[in-house]
Amino acid sequence: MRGVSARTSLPLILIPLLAILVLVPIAFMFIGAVLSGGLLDPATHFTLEKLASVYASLDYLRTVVSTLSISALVAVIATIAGVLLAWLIARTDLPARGAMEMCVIAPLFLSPFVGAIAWLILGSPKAGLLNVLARQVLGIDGVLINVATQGGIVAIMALYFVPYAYLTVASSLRSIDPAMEEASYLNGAGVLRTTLRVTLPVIRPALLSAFFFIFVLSAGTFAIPAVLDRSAQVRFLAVDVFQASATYPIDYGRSAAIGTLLFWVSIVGIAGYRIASRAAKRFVTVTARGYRIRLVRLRAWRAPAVALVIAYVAFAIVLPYFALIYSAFTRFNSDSLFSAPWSLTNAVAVSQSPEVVDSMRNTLLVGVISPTLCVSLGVLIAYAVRRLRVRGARVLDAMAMFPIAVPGIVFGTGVFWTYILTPAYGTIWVLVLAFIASYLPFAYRLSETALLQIDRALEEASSLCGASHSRTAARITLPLIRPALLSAWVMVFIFSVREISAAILLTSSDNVVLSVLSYNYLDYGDVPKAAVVGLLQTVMLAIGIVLGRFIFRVRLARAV
Amino acid sequence: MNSGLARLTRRGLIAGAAALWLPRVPRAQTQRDAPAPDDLIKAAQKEGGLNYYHNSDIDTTGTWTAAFSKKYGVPTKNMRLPSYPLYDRWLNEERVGRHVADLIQITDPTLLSAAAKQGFVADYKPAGGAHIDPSLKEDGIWYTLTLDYMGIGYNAKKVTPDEEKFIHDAGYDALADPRWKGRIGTATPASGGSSYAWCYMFLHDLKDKYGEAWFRKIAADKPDIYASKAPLFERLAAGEYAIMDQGSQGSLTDFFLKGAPVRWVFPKPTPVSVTTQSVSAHAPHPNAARLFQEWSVTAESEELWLSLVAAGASRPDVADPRKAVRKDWYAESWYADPTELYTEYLKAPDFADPKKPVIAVWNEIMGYQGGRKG
Amino acid sequence: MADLHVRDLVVRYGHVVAVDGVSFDVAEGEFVALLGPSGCGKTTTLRCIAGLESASAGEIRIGNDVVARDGRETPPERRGVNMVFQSYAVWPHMTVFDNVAYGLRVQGLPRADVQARTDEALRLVGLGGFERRYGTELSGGQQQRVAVARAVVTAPRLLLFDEPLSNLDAGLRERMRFELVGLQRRLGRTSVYVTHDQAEAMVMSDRIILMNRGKIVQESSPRELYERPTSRFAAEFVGSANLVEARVDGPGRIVIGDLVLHARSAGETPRQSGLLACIRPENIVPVAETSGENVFEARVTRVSFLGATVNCELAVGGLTLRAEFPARTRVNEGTTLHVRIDPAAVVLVSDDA
Repeated sequence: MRGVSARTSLPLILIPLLAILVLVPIAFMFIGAVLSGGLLDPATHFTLEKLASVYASLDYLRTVVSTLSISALVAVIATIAGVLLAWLIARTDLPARGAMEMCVIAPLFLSPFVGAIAWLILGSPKAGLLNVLARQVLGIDGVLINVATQGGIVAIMALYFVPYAYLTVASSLRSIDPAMEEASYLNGAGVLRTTLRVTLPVIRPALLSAFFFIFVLSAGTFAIPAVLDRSAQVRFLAVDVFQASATYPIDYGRSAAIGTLLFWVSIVGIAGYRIASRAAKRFVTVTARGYRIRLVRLRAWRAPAVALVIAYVAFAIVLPYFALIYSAFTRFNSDSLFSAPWSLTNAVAVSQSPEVVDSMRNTLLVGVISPTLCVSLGVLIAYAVRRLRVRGARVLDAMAMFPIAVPGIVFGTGVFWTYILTPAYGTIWVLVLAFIASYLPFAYRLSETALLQIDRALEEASSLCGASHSRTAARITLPLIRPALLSAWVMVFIFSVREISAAILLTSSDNVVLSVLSYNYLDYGDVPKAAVVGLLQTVMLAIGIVLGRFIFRVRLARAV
Repeated sequence: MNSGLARLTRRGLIAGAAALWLPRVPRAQTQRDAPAPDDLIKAAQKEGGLNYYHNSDIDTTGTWTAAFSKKYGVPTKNMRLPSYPLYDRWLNEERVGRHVADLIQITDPTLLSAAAKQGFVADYKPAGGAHIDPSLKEDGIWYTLTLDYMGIGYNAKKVTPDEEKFIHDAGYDALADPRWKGRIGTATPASGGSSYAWCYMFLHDLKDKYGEAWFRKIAADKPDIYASKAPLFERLAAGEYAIMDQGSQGSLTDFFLKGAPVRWVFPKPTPVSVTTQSVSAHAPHPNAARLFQEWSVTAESEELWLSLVAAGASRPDVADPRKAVRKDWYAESWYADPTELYTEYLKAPDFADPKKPVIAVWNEIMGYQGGRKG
Repeated sequence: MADLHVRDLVVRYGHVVAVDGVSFDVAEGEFVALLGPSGCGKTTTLRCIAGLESASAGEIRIGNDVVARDGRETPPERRGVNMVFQSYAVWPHMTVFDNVAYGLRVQGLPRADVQARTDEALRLVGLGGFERRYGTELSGGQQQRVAVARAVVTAPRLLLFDEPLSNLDAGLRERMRFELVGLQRRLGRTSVYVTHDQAEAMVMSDRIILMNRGKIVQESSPRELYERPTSRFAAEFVGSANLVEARVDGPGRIVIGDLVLHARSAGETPRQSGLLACIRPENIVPVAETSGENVFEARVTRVSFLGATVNCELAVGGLTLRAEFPARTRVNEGTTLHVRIDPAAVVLVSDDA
C-alpha cells in the first residue's frame, strides 16, 4: 500500500518541475507573440498584429507549405538512407560493421552550423573545392555540384539526419525475432522478398517514428538553410524565426509569432510520432530469451553495398571534415587545391586563446552535467508513467514531449526570461537547465521505449522475491535498460556539446562554450578559427562517444 | 562582423606585443593624454573587475583589454555577441534590473542614443573624447573607438587588368556594370548594421545619384546574395565571384595579409562603419567602467587597436603605425586611403526607422525572399 | 507455508470481466491446478494471488493474512509468495547464482546462508555447476530450472506456477512434470499451478479447478473430473468424450438415438431436457455375447490403429460413437460386432454450450 503514495506524491514533484523547466519557457513564446516589442520595453504593448501578419497571410501559407514539404522530403530521404544502412550493418555480413556504424553516426559530431559552412566551402558553384577538383582534375567545365539550391539544401539536411533514422531503425532491426524472417525463408521467399514483406513491415512503426522525428527536427533547423541558401529562394519557417530574432532589425514579436506557427507544425509531427510509436508497442519482441540474429549473406552484392556505405561516409564525413581541416590549416580558402596556402597560424592562435581553454572546460562541464541530469529525469518520468502508472501520467507524458516542438532559438528566449532573475543566470547552470528541457523528449522517449521492451515478468519476479519497488528499479529495471540509457546519455551529450541557438541567447563571459565560440568567430568572419574550434568540438564529441561505446560494449559482452 | 575590425594576425600579434611590452612606444603617445585621475584608478581597483560587452574580434579584444588590465590592475571579463543580439541582451538585463555589463561596445550608435533616452547610458565624458570629431560621438553618451571603411572589393585573380582599372576609375558605377553578370556578390542589408548603412546611403543620402535604379542594375547581374557577411568575404577570397559591394577594409585586409588575392578601392563618399562604446548607467563596477572609457579613447589605446587590426582611428592624432612605414597594403600601388567619409547616418534620427523600408526595398529589387520582415 | 482462500474474486478491465466471482480454497501443502482454455481468467486469478494484478472485488487470504480486500492490497513483495513465470523471467544481466540468490539477498541473509541455500536450491533443480553462467547462455529447460530454484529458495508460503512448461518441447515437458511434482511433494509447499494442458493438470495436481469465461466450472480431484464431469465443457475439455443428446426414460434409464441405455446416474438427474450423455470411448467395450444390459450391435465405419489402442468409429442405433479398444482387438471396417456400454460409466451432463 506504499505504491499508492508514490503514485500520488511523485507527480506532485514532477509536474511542477516540468512546468518550470518546460512550460514556462514555452509560455514566454506565446506571450512574446502578442507583444509589439521586447518583453519589458516600455513602448511594448499588446497587439495581434504579429500573429495576424503570420497567420493571416497568403505569403506565410506558402512558407508553411514549403517548410512542410522540405521537412517531409528530408525525412523521407534520411529515413530511406538510414534504413538501408541500418539493414546492411545490422543484418548482413558487411565487413567491418562496427567501424561502419561509427561512420554512419559520425555526422552527429558536427554541428549543423559548422557543417553547413563546410559544405559551402565544398560545394559553392565556382570556388567550391569539389567543383575546383572537377575542373582541375577531371576537366569538367561547369558546375558539378551546387549546394546553394533547394535540392542541395534538402540533400545536406538529409545527410545530417541519417544518423537519427539509423539509430531508431537499427535497434529495432536488432530486436526482431529472427523466427519471423526464418519463417519467410522457409516459405520460399528470398532475401529481397523477405526484407520487403516481413522485415520492413515489422519495423514499420520504427520507420514511421524515425520519419516523424526527423520531420520535426528538420522543421526546427535553421543553420543549414540559413547558411547555404544564398538567394533565399527556399522558404523555411525556422530561418525566418532566426532572422527575426538575431538579425537587424530584431523583431521578437514576429519571431515568436512564427515560432508559434512552427510549434503547431511540430505538434502535428509529434502526434504522428506518438501514433507510430504506440503502434510499435504491438511489436514488442524483447524478452529474457536471447536471440541469435541471422546475418544475410550479401555475396555478389557485397561490393555494391560496401561502395554505397563508402559513398555515404565520403559525403557525410570525409568531405566535410576535409573542408574543415583544409580551412583550419590554410591561411584562407582558395580555389586552388594544389597550391593551397597551408599554415598552422590559425591552430596556434586558437590554442593560445584563453577563451578556448575556458570554453573547453565549460563545454565539458555542460556536456557531462546536462545528459546526466536529463537522462535521470527522463527515466524517472518514464518509470512514473509506465511502471508506477502515477496519477497525471498523460500530463507528464505530454509535458516531457513538448520541448521538441519548440525551435531552439525560441526556446532559448523563453529560458532567458525564465531564469534572468535567478542565480543560475549567466552561469553554466542556465545552459544546463535549457539543455535538460530541450533534450528531455529524447531521454524520455528512449527510456520509455526501453521500459516498454522489458518483459514485465522480469520485474514481477523481483517483487515476488520480496524486493521493494526501489530495489527492483535499481537491481532489475535500470540494469536491463542500461544500454538504452547509455545511448540516451551519449545522444544528449552530443546535442549539449554542439547546441548553438539557445547557447547564444544564454551566453555570458562565464559560460562560453565551444559552439558559441565558433559561432562568434564565424560571425566575425574568421572561418579558419571557427573551423579549428569546430574540429575541437568534434574531437571532444568523438572522445565522449568512443568512451560511451567502450562502456556499452563491455556491458554488452558481459550480460545482455 | 559589423565593425569589420581585422583579425589578429601573426604580424599583428608581434606588433601588439611590441606595443604592450616595449615601454618606449606607448610612453611617447600617452604624453598626448593626461593621466587618469588617481582617485578614479583607486576606486576602480577597489571594485576589482569589469564586465565588457563587445562585438569585435574575440582575440583582438582580449589582447586589447589585457593591456588595460595590466596598466590599471583591473581584470576584465569580455562577452562577445553580434551587435543586435548584444544590444538586446544588455537592454533586457537592464530592464529587469539584472545589471551585468559595465560597458557596451556595438557598431550601431543610433541604438546607444536610443538607450540613453531611456536612461540606460551613464552620462560620462572621458578626457580623450575631446579629440574625437563631433560627428563620431554623442558627447557624454557614446564615443567612436575605431572606423571601418567600406568600398568595392575584388579578387585580383578573377578580373582582367582592364577590369581592375575600370573598378578604380568608375567609382560606384563600376558595381552596376553588366560585365559582372554572374560574377558579383553581395549581402542583404539585414545581415548587419554596416550592410544596412551601405544600402541606406545609396537609397537615401545618395538617392538622386544612385538610388533604386543603381541597385536594379546590380540586380540585373544576378549577384550571389549572402544572408551573413562571413561567407561573403570568404567566398570572394576563394574566388567564387569577382567583385563585391560593402567591401569592409577590416575584413579585406585580413584576407590580404593572409595572402589572398583580394584588393579594394574606396569611391567617394566612403561609408564608415564605427565601433562605438558607452558606459552602462547601472554598471556594477561604475568606476572601473569610467576608467575603461577614459582609457579606451586615449591615443595609447587607439594605437594599440590599430596595431592589431586594420582600422581607422577616431582620433585624428592617432595613425596606423604601418601606414607611416608603408607596410602591408599601404605599400601596394593599387591602395589609396578614403578621401571623403560618409558618417551622416550616425546622427540621422530616422536611420533605424522601421517605416523607412531599406530592407524591403532592397529585397524587392533583388528578388530576395529571405528575412521577410513584414 | 500456509493455506489460501479466495472469496468472490472479481477482476474487471473496463467493461470486460476477466474473473467473475471466483471462490476456492487451497489447503496447506496441497497442489491445485487452475485449468482452462486461454482467456478463461486462470492466469489473472493467479496474478491476483501474487499481487501482480489488482482485484476489483473479493478477498484473498494467505494463512491468516488478508492480502486483498476492498481495493486494499498487500504489495507482492510482502505476500511471502513466489512464482515461476511462463517466460521464466530469468534476469539476463545476472548469473545463475545471482538470479537464485536474489530473494535471499533481499531478505538480508548472511552471505554464508545465501551461499548455502542457493547451492542447495540449484542442486535441487539439477543445476549444480552452472552458477557462473548467464541466463541467456542456458537452454529453455535450464532457464526453467533457474526460475524454479529462484522461486523455491525463498521458502515462500505459497508457490505459484504460471504455465511454466508451455515453452518446452514435448519430451522435456513430460520429464519436467514429474520433476516439478516430485519437488513439490518433497518441499510440501502449498502450490497453485496454472495450465491449459489437461494432461499436465491431471498428472500433477491433487485437485483441479476448471475455469471457463472467468468462472469456476468444476472443482474436483483429477479422477472425479474425468469420470464425473458435470458439464459439457468439463467433459469435452478433459479427455475425449462421446456427447449425445439424452432423455431420461425412467429410473436409471435414458434414451439416446434409437437406444435405451441403462445409466446409473440417470436417477440422480431430475432435469428432463438439455441433457447430454457423456460416454468415454474406452468405456465402449467389444463383447462376445449378443444381448444383455447395454449390449448393442455396432457397425465399424472407420478404424485407426494407435499402437496401444485401436480407435473406431461405430454406427450404433442411428448414432456415431467413438470407441477405444485394446490393441489386440481385431476389427475391420465394414464389419459388425457387439459392444457393451458400462452403465456406471455413463454420465449425464447439462448441455451448457
